[in-house]
Parts: sequence; structure tokens; C-alpha cells
Amino acid sequence: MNAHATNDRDGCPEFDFALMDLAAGDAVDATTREHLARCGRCSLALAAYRGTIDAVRGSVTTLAPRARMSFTWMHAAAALIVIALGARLARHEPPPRVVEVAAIDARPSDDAALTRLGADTARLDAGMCTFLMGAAMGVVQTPLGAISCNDCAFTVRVGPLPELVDDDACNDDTHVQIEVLRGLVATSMLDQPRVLAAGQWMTISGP
Amino acid sequence: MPLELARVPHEIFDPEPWRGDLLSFLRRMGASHDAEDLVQETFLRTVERPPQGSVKPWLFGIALNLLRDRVRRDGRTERARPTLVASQREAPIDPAIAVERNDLAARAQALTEELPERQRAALLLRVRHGFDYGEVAAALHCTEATARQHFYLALKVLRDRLRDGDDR
Repeated sequence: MNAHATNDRDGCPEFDFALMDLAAGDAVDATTREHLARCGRCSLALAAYRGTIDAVRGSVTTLAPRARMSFTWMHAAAALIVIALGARLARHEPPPRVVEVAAIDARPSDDAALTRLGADTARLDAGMCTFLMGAAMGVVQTPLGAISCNDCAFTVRVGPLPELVDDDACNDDTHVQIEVLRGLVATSMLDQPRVLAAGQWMTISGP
Repeated sequence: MPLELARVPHEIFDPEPWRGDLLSFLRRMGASHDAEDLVQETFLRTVERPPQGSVKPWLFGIALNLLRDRVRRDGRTERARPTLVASQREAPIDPAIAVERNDLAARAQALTEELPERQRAALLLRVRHGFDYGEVAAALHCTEATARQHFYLALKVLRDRLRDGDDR
């Protein structure tokens, strides 16, 4: 088992580590608290972390409610994430620049290193980019693997996350974090990430 | 010329208050009948080499190193240890038995012992002994980022294994 691979028991990737710290008794920042107040997924994840820690402390005899999302709940949560991200974009950020990569609409961040490789293929070496796949199958390659899907939208962030680099447990500081707007999230350092798109888990093929 | 008697240092470090915590930690890290010996040995080291900086991680770090030395010397493998310990405890340690008894704490204990040593240590120090990441790092002689990583990994693996046991 590789704990780096995100599963449906984890909180949202940008808050998951803070949730574990919170479960262990640390204080968290206001952003995390605000997010936690409105995110069912993170609430369930926090309950699971707390239940696990209580079990290690030997202070409970039953686990907290199962942190497994129902299909309906998952879609509702995903929709909320999309809405929240959309609202944030609309409020705080200029309209994204859109790059046409054949069947793929790409919205890269300013620092993104995005290369078109073919009619339906793009490569993201650094930075963040949201891809809107059309009906035709498109492929996005990243240093850890390729994502392919049709009729889905997802955001990929490629870059090192220094706080996650383990000097004796990880040989490669390349970290790929993938956020699928209409699904769930895959995060991986060592393992091949998975992507949930259109309700289906897809394993990302390795390079 | 009058002789001056050497003065005993006014404050002598007394490790005794840490005995219970160290025993608990060492037992959960795989020590069994030799846990008391290891604590004594840890205390002896404090006489030879007084604490530098924060006492808590320093003491636990010594105890953990002594346990590692003993495991190496005895030729016991890390994987073999939980089984060895299981036969010497009253509490159920086999995950399957623990599941049958629906004893979550025992399951957590058993599953914790299956974690890699550094992950197990980080989890126990953080959760049972109240260490912050800096203290965990000092005890494990690693960076704070590494200490975090060990804790996060241990917590996720344990959460999943506890849940998976629930599903059976």
C-alpha cells in the first residue's frame, strides 16, 4: 500500500496534511477551518483521522463514521468544488488564457511549461494547467504518467512540493498533483496516480 | 593551601519521571522482556552524556537507538518482531484475532506494529507522547519534513488498514 496515493478517504489534497495535523491536535489556519466548515469530504476525512489517532491512543472502541463517499455525495461534492473554483476564478482572477491543443482546451498558468506534441496530445512539464477534453480522446503527458480521457475536465499541477520531499524515503522530488474537477483527486509521489473522471477511476499509465 | 572539595552539580538530571513513557514507547516499538533493561541503559547514558537541548526527544532518541542496536545484535528482523512480541503479551496482537474481538485499540496496536520502524516511531511519538514535529525529528535524527512524512504515511496506512478490517 502506498499512502501517497490519494483515495476516497482522504480530504481535499490541498488540505489533507492540515487535516492530519488537526487530528493530532495541532492548530490550523483560518483558511483550513473555513474550508472544513463547508466541505463534507474533508469533514469525513478528519473524522477518520481522529478515529485512527484515538484508536492508537487506545481511547475508543469504535471508529468514527465511515469516510466513504456515496456516488451521489461524491457528485454533489465535485459539483460544489467546481462551483467554488469557478466563483473564485470569476472573483479574483483575470480570465484564463486558453490554448487550443487540437481536441484539448488548455488553460495554463503563467509559469506552465506546456507543449503540444500532436493533434490530441499535450505535455505539461511544469506549472498548472486545466484541461477541458472534448468528445474525442485527448492525452496529457506529465513527468509521472499520462492522463487520457474524453469529455472530462481536470487540472494538473506539476512541480516539487518541498514539504513533501523525504530525504530518505523518496528518491525523486518530482510531485504531480492532479485535480479532476468533475471527479476526485489523485496525488502521488512514488506511485502511479489515478484519476476519477466521469465517475470512472482511471489508472494513469506510466512513462 | 586548603583543598576544595569538588562540588556536585546543583541540578542533576533525573530521568526517573520518564520511565513510564519510555517503557510504553519501547514496548510498542517491539521491545518486550528487555524493555526495562533498555530503559535502565537509557538512564545510564544520561549519566555519561548529559542532555543537550530538549530532554524529551533526546531521551527517546537514545532509547530508540538502544533498541535498534539490540535488535541488530539479536539478529531479529523487523518483520519478525511483532510475532515475537505477540506471543509474550496478554493483549491480542494478531489482527485477525483482534477483529474477532472487535477491539479497535488492540487492532490499532497490532497494525501499528506492522508499520516500518520510523513510521511507527513517528506515529507513537506524535500521538501517544505528544511530540511536535521538531521533537520527532530530533528523536529520529532526521529533518522535520521527514518526520512529517513518516507521520502522514503511518496515519494513512493505519486508517486504511483499520477500515479494511471493518469491511471484512
